[in-house]
Amino acid sequence: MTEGPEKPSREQVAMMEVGATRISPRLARIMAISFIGLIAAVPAIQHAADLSRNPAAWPECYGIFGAVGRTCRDARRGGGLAENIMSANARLTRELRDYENALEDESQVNKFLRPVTQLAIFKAGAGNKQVYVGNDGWLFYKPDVDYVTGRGFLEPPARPAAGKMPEPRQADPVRAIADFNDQLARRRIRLLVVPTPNKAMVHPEMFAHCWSARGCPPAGEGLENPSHDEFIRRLNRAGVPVFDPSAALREYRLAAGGRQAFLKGDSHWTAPAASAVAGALAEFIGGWNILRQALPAGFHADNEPVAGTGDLTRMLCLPDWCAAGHENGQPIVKSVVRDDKGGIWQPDKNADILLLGDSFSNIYSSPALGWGQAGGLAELLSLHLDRPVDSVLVNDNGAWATRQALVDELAAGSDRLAGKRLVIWQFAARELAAGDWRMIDLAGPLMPATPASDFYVPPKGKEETVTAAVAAVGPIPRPRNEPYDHITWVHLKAVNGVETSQALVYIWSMRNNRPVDAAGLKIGQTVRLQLRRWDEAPARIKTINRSRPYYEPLKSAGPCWGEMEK
Amino acid sequence: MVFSSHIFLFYFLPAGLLLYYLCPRRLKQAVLTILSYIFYGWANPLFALLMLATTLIDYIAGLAMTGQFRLSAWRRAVPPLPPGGARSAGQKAALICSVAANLAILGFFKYFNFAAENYNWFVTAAGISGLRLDSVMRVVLPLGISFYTFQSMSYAIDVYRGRAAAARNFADYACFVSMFPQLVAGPIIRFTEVAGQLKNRSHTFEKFARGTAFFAMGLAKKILLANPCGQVADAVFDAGSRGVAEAWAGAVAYSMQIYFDFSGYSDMAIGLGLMLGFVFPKNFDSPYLSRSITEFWRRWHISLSTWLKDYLYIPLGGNRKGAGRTYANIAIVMLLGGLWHGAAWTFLIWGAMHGALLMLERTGGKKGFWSRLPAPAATACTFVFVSLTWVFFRSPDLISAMQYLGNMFGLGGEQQGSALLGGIILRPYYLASLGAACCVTWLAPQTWDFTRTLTAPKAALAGLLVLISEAILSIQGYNPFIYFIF
Repeated sequence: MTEGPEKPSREQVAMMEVGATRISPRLARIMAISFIGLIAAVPAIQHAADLSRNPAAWPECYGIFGAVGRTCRDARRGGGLAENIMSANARLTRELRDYENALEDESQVNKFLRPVTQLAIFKAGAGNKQVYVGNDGWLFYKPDVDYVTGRGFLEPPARPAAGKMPEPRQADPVRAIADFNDQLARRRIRLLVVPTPNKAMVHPEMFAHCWSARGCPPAGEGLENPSHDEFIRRLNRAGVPVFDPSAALREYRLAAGGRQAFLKGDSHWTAPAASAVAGALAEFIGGWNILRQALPAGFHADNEPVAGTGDLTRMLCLPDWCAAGHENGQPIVKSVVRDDKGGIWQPDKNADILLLGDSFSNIYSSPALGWGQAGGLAELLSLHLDRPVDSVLVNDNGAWATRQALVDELAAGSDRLAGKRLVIWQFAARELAAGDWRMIDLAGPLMPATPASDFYVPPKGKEETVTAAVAAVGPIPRPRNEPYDHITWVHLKAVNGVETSQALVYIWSMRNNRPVDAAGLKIGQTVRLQLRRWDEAPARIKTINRSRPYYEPLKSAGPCWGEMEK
Repeated sequence: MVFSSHIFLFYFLPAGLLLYYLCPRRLKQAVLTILSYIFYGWANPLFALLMLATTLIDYIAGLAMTGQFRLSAWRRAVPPLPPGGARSAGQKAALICSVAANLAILGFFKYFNFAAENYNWFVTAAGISGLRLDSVMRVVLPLGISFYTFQSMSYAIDVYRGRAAAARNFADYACFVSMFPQLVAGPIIRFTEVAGQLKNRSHTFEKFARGTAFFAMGLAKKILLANPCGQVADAVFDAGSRGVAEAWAGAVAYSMQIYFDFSGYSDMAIGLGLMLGFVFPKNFDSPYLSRSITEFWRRWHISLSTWLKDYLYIPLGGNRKGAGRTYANIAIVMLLGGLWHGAAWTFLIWGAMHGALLMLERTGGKKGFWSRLPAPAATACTFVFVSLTWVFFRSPDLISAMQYLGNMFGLGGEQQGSALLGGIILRPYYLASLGAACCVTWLAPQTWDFTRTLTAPKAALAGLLVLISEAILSIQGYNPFIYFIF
């Protein structure tokens, strides 16, 4: 940093540089026109596609003007000036982000380029934002790997990066689990916690070639987050027993020389590995002697072959032919658990065991995950114990979602804890580092028998078709970013033309990594929906990830399940 | 909005170019300003109002300093103040208002949270936790605020010094502050550099073609080199601990990420400027070829280092007031330069390390350690030192930075899971990206040189790079610009 003699200014140097550009006039024209052609081709193709789909409507890209117009109109309604500006700004920011995401996700050029490019990148050993590629085409969920490589989850979090706000979440799993345990203990129910190891923990050798060369534990011994042992110690001190499936998975793998315990293109375990864990869990519970004496229920299982596409493979958006063949390394055979009458296993609300579980419990049980049904962790536990089991399963957010689902049921008057002696709380281990461990009150307020009168709910046992205007839509995940199907909330106004009538409706937002129904809704749009009461929605729907409204009056409104009228 | 996004590349840019070239010459500044406000307000529309407020303050201050408020003189150009001449109290007040307003805005939005955090730490350490400000608000950092406040300040100071004529036309001035190609991540342009171009600039196919070549190179640097290197760097830096090899790989990957991210952005900014008829000066001059830290700062983020030199180092006395004062000035400039990058102790340490080495080099002079090394060794040593300092720049806090540095030298223990990092780094895609980044850094010509003579094969290469970048962009969720948050 010195003061030198007068030199030409940087601007003068740049001017001289640009003035000295050597290019033929013809090439200059070709380059300029080609560049403009290249960047204009994408919207031109999109216009053509949009118009061929619906010649009467403006192409999607002009939707931005509607969004800005709606925000400006709404900004003039009620409230103080500052409040109106802030809320309009928040809404416009969201509208702009959604618009940009939709433009990118629905781009015809991107839809064409994405599978081909992803295949090339995949062959070169890279995945996408959420998926890592391991050895021999094995796929790993990035948050799972981060859990193992990251800092201990009980250590204080690092300072948030510049420009990012700290997350206001309760991040201490021990506090939340101990509190849940205390609440259950007051009802004379024991809690058993089952933090489920992920693929990177069980199959590190399929992720890193250098694994055995580093003097690390050989394949089959697994990995843990640095806080794992301390976590177990703290839970034990708080009187909460823990069943760690790692040992069962290790034994399962060692029994046959490093057998595969996880699916190649999915973030979950194989059916036999799930069965091994269920067997070990049943043995663990059997030693406690806390369950009621009961006669064998007569559960039995048939084996059936199953073919599916893994959640991670779907997130990669590989070409269909490539994705379909990704699990071909090994035929997958799963159990189908049946009751003594030969019927498909069903959760039993009168059982003395309740399983709260996430997608590790749901796989092979919920058809939405694509690997068949009646062979999940609850079914297999039932089979091994030969007694009925009740279950509340939600695919993701195991730290919070299943406890909340339980509270929802309690609030709606369905006491799933009645008669229970044991609650098994299964969640993915990565939740310990990144989960939402908010405290939940099991004795929360009961939902009113009749919801607020201005929130429309169909009569019991009836399905009704309504017409209404969309007032707000909950968060919608972007394809390739979330492994599971998703349901979001929609706030409807002017239901069936009654200006004061509103409704809170849950509808699909993503299925098979494709945006659906709610993803296409615009604020102010008129929709026709088939509604039924949420408590009468199909059981499989309740296992799907669901975004909930976070503000009043929606938070306490009686919800419906809705399906868009085709 | 970022340059390497679907909406910018395929909607904003073609529509913007179309509007710009279709509108009459006298409206071009206004159209460019409106486009720039849309570009900036896209992330958060309220931020555009903040920028408008800054712009108005400095515009009025400029006119106040030159006493040119009379409506009768509205069409006449404002003459610059006599350089070095005496200034009235009113002129001084106008300058103070402008600089104070800019620093206040920057200080509040950028440093409020940092100040509150440190205050809380201090009162807790002093045992008076009751005085903590836990419930105080947290401030959201507007994008690129450090860039445009520095740009605005330089305008007011230059007008005061008589180096620039105040802008009479608000559209001209607003266009200078908000011009979207360089708005959120530089290069930091001075009014004197573009005042003439705002009035009169040429639009030629040659300029446009070179602009497309610059843009293609910048886009490729960002998408094909910076982003994959960033994925490796993120995995290693976010790990709880890492082995020696992984730690070095992560540090080198981050060195490459930040260079290609920022120089790629600058190339795109220069290219877009050329497409709109503007010529912006060079911002990077192959910094990793530097043989010393002094040289590094002549080549890295040139628009910032010259800004700091002209508006801070020289006014402080530069090297004219003895050795002690020179070292103190270097220390002040580098510490403030560090803080300019971010409100955290890590940035301060980063600036301090660079400042310390600049002072050491100055002490050693031509007989110093660096000067005696053979050229390749000096380049290597400089790169290693710069990479070590980037560890502070990238780490979320001081403890993490110290732990990372320890891991680079085999200290601090290694957790089992860190062996998985090899599974991320040792993939052909990432190895190839890192290798290509190194080759481009040390073997390839820089963009200015590459585009000086444009031939058909070079044009084809530029087109191919845009196509490949477009394809990668279609699957890439990871696309941050590091300098956006500064």
